[in-house]
Amino acid sequence: MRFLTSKAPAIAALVCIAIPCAATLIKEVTFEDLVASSTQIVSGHVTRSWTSWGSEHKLIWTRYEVAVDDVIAGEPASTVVMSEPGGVLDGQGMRVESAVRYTIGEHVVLFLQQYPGGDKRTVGWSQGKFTVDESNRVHSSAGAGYLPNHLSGTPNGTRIGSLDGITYRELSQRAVELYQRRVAR
Amino acid sequence: MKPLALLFAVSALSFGYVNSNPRTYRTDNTNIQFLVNVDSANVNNANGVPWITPGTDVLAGAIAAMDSWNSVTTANIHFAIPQTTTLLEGTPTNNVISFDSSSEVVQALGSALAVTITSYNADGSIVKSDIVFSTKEQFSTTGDASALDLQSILTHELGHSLGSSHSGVLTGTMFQATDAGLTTQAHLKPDDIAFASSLYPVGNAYGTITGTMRDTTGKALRGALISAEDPVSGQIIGGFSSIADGTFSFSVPPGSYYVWAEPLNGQVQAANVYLTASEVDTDWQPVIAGGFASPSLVNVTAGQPTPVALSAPVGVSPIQIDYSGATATAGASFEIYTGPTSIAGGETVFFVFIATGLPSTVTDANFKAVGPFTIVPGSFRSSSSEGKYQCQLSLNMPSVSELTTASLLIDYNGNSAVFSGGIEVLPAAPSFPANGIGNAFSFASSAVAPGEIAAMFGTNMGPASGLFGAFTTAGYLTDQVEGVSVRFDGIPAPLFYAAAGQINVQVPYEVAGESETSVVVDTGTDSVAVSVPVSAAVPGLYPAAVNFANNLLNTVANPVAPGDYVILYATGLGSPLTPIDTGEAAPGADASANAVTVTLGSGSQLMPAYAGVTQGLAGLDQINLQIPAATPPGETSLFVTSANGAQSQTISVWVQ
Repeated sequence: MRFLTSKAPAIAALVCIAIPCAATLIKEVTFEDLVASSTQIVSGHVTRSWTSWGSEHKLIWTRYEVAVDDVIAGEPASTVVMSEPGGVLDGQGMRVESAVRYTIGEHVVLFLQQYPGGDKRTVGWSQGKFTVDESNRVHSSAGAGYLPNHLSGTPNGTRIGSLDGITYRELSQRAVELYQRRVAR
Repeated sequence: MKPLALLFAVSALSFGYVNSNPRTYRTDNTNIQFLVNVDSANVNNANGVPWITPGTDVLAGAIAAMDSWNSVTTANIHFAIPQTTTLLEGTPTNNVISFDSSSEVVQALGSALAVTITSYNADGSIVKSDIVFSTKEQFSTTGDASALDLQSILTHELGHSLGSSHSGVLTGTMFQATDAGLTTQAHLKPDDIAFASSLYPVGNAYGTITGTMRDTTGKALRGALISAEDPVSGQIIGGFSSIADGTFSFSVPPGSYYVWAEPLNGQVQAANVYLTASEVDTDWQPVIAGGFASPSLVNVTAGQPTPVALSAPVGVSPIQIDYSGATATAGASFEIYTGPTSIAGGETVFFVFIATGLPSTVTDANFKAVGPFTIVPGSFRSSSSEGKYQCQLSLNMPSVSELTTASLLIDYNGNSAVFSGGIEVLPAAPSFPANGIGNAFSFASSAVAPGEIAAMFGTNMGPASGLFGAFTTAGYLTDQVEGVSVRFDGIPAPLFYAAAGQINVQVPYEVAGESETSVVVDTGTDSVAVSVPVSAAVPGLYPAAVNFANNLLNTVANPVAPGDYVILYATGLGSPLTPIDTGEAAPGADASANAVTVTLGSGSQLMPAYAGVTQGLAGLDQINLQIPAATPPGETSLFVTSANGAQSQTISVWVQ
């Protein structure tokens, strides 16, 4: 990292990047965290959704089925089912702010975490969801709360938002590399 | 769970600013009862450390958070004093705050710090809201820098329970971010107040800013974040354009505003406000009404819509502020963050930010300060590093008496960016001495009594020009005046008056039984906690009595007839026999639990006909005293003594 060279006091030289704000009252994760916390990383298309009660009948969950095109890391699968809190069922609406939303047909890359009951969610809520556009570039859903990529290599890691616009191939390669490094340990 | 009556139809619109989509609202908004599971907090979290830090008072934090919303005088909102419970989640209609580690709730929390789970009917009416804290974090009400501020998080979550979604204003309580040790979200900002005032309005105090967001080709732009900021005060309120047709309409107080729009592709993205990327348009650049070179002020009148035309350039702006921070000391090490940057008022600071699209050819003339601060001419510096620019500007920040927000607008080489409400200016820390708090009538500062009206004297405690508190429509004195609040053992105290040098406050009844109480003044910056003795009663008398016969002040010219009654107004008689809520306007006569005697100058001791709260007011007591028929004419002195032996000061009464 280079520093300011102006005549003004070079205070920026001493700036340190802190783990910043926790997004949507959700803790932020770096790309390294994302991969480290994922049990499976897949890409695919959202094919359908439905709602059902959770295992303890405390929450309504919206389930999204994703037809898997590519398993980047983890167990092979042809489909995965995502679960997000909230939805409408039995005449009741339930809402959990910032639950990740998917649209049918959406092309996504998902960094998945499996919970003890078997349900899967993306790591770090929307941080674990990328969309893929028609030119095969990926787009992060992350907003405030992430670290700058030009400081990658520091303990803080790679900002998820900085990956916005890279190709699907590049994203998957980065993920595979990190995942294999993790598995090798 | 019992199914509710109707199915819900998902709205296609994302109108308003921080209201949720689908739009949900409470019908019990004037009496929202939450239950708090305090016991569930007193265990270890998933990391094996206590869920709350030592000294943390979950119930007090909940009350304080609720009082922030209760204090919005332009909104019909009242959270009742929360009750404790052993439930982890509510029954079909109970609202519960808990620390729940059951597997389904843990799955719902994921990596969230807390979530609000809201059930609602088909018409959007909220049936209940449960708030659950993360099993992986530690929470605090004692200002612990390494823990998350419980009051701030609850203030945010309670906003969700009212139907608010996330705000696009970086400094808003309803913004999506917080961090350990941060407390500013405990203070509602104009954006949060606008939400409450719009959904639960009292009267017609606000106007609206309306229009259709378009680009220069005429295409409607969906999901634009639109901000209105008063350039003098820095108050900023945000709204979003419809995801159906780009129209927008959001409420703001009467005033003059700069109005600008930005796409949801910066620090606020579609997912942050419960939208998907496909539901919003982001292929356009920020635009301000009137243009960046000479923005025009938009004048808003109460009860009236004010149309604003915004036409944005096509294409994504190359300029973006990613991180920012500030320091007043050259050479100092400091941290930079996404989200807002907090800066102490009264200083010139180096504002440092990581950005794209801002090379060294940019000058400070390419920036516009909106809000109460100025940019030091010639102070912009930029240096590139791995595709980013590390930039700095020197900013002159004013001294402020309350938490204030400000924005930076950037216009360079035909491209633009905005840092909407991204700067918060912190007031200097308030302070007051231990003997600076006493009875508001007698100024005796030996101790405070439950329910007493106390006067506090200090510095930096509020606005330069004093402002008065007000009663809400629910009949409670508000706990905040212009962002100023006072806490006794964490319990917020109703405020009668707040100024830089003086605050008049009702001591919460909850201090009863304590030997001392810890008092903090909070203006956005906390004072040092001051320990003050508590006594069951500390009577103080208003300096003049009132003749019951004619309801006029007792004076030399208006003496009381022997055998008639005078009313001695007082404060500090202590708790009434029948408990009433702190801040509540007393619903009727209610005698003090501490018996009172009146001693005349002659030495005779009298039992008053009544000594207790004054109906319709908070903290004010009255003593109805019959003047003995044998009292000689002229001036006679008197004082009162409470059962605990505490005496008032002496006042005079004139007798015919």
